Amino acid sequence: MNTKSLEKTPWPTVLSFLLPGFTGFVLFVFLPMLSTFLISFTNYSGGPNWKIVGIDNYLTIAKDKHFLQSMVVTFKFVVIGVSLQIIMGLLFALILNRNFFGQTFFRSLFFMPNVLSSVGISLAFSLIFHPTKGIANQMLEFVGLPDSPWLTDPSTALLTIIMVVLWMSFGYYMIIFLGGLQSINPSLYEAADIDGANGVQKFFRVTLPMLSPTMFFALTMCIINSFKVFDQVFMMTGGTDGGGPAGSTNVVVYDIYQNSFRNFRFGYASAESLILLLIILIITVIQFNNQKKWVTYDI
Amino acid sequence: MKKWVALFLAVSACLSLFANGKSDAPASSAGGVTSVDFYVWSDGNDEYSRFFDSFNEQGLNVKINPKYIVPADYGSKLTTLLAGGISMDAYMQKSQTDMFPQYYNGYIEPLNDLMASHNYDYNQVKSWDASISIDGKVVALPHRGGKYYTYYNAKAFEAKGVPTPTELVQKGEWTWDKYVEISQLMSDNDEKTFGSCLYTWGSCSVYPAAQEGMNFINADGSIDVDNSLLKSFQIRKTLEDGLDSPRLVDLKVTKTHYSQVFYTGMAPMLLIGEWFPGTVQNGFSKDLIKGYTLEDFRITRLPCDSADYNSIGAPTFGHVHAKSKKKDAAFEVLAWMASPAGALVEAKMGFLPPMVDDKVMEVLSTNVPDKTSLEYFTEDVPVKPFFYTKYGSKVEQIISQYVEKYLLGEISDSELIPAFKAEMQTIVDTTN
Repeated sequence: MNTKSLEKTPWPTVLSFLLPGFTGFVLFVFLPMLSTFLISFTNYSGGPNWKIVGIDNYLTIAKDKHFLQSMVVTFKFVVIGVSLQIIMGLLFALILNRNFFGQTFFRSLFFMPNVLSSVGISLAFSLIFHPTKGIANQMLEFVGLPDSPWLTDPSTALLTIIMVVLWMSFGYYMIIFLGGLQSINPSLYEAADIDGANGVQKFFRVTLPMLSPTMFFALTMCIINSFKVFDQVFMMTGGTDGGGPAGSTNVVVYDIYQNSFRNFRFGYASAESLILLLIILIITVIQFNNQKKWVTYDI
Repeated sequence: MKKWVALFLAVSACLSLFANGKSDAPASSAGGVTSVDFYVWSDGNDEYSRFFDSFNEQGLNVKINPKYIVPADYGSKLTTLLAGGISMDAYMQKSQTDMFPQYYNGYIEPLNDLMASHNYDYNQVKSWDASISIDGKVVALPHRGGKYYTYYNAKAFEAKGVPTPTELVQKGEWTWDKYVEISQLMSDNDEKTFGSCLYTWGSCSVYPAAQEGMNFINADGSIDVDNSLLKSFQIRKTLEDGLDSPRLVDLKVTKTHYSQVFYTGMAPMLLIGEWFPGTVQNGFSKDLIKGYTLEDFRITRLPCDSADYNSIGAPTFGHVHAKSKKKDAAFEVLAWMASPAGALVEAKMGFLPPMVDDKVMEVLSTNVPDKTSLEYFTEDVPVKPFFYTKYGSKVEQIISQYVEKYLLGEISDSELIPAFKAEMQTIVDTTN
């Protein structure tokens, strides 16, 4: 269909094509968001006996040490998790961007965890990190290293979950970076060669700047996804028994889950969700505003 | 164009509302048989499916239409279904203290009128009244009793030459200190064979406190926390530090079920509720238990520091959904479950029914062949429920967090009680 015929398409036809998607958006995105916003100003606990409490939920959250602790855990997860996912994704993209035998196989292999069920992966890793029978400790033992408590110690549990999320997700960012690398104009490398640039210089002066739009997209998505982490925490550190150990892996979404489905505090949990949304929004806006300083679109 | 866009928005809004709407279909009955949608945690091939099948096999004019939800998801899914206003006639309560918020949210039908209209003899289950009533109204009928016991494998005790808990009960020496001592004697201290097991639920870490009647938060919102909480945590810590009990965090993270601990001989002694003989029966029938027989399976009282013994726990029960259009039929199902006929079916499966008569005793004896064990299993003793108020679910959550902190050394003896009391106060302040 060319532009002319598009322009001639009557509005009812265009809108009728949009209708199914828009209905889905209203039903599954807009209405839930609106109801979350409205419920956050109530003490709704699932039944008919609720009342409007104004900003009480937000004031309580500001003093709630469980929420604040979960926020600290979430930020730790985001900072460490995002850094590792982006670095690993980029590293493997650079390696797999070279021509060698089995290149496609390895690309598929590293991307594969991303399409697997996070619940299944979490269960599998629970076995791998089993404190006495797990293969992870057996391997450590094999190379003469001491056992690690992995998921059973507050100092290592979060890092262990980050490792699992890293294993699952870096392949996705690798594919994104591969796309970015392949769209870099080869003449830029040729020009750099003529100027006598070595590999490191080419990477920092050509590859990274040219990859910056891709990097910006990957970073934004990775931060958003990391703030929303839940499945792995729920499955690997105790589920409905209260997360753990000693709250060391209780991220914000887990706290929201606990307040909704165990404590029947839907109003409060909605307010927590909105605060999380606000934090993600602020970080994303800051990223968008700062992108002019480091993202290159002009070549 | 504007009018088309306006029409578009209006149609999409109507479609959304249509998709969001609920059906108010009338109660269905085919051939005079009323079908009751009954929600329960089950995989469809366990004690609840057998229990439901037993009811349906009677050929009454009420049939159960089972709605099975996998046990791990039951709590959160039930909350979602109730809040979402799903059409449901009855449901089982997995976490007893959840009945308080559910009742106050209008999900549970009070049963007093239904009991009267169906001539239900409430005296059969009246001994559980405190556990199934809220504000003077009966809100549930129990199909199982509710008591915690000491379960042990007599063969393991014999092999080590250690006095059994039953012997110590009979001598009046089965105290919590003795429990620790016996656990230490039974342990191989090799992180493979432990002396006993306390499970991961918050309630399992506060047995001594609950037994002494500590309520954490009373129904009127006053805080009831004392040093018996510290003592409870200390017992667990002593056992874990000495490798006499599996670590709580290990059990939780590795998702090791208490039955697995007992079946495999990982711990020859377990403190858990009245359903465990049924679980053991299931273990034997599925050939999951190796190295000992049903005759080696023994039951006795919980350890107790008081001369006047009391157990802890609450019965397992079901509710009629307040929005059901088939309340009478749903009540008939619950009433059967909480009757001598239902009790016999429960007993056959190895569970302690809410009422015990001679027939029930006879049936139970096939699952609990040891006579002394059967006597302790069915003895009439006072039972104190755990944190049984509208704050209960939140209290258990805080217990879970604090016991882990305590076991991991993140909170000291002196800090525990003040910090815990502050948490209880927060619960009171933030509960509707």
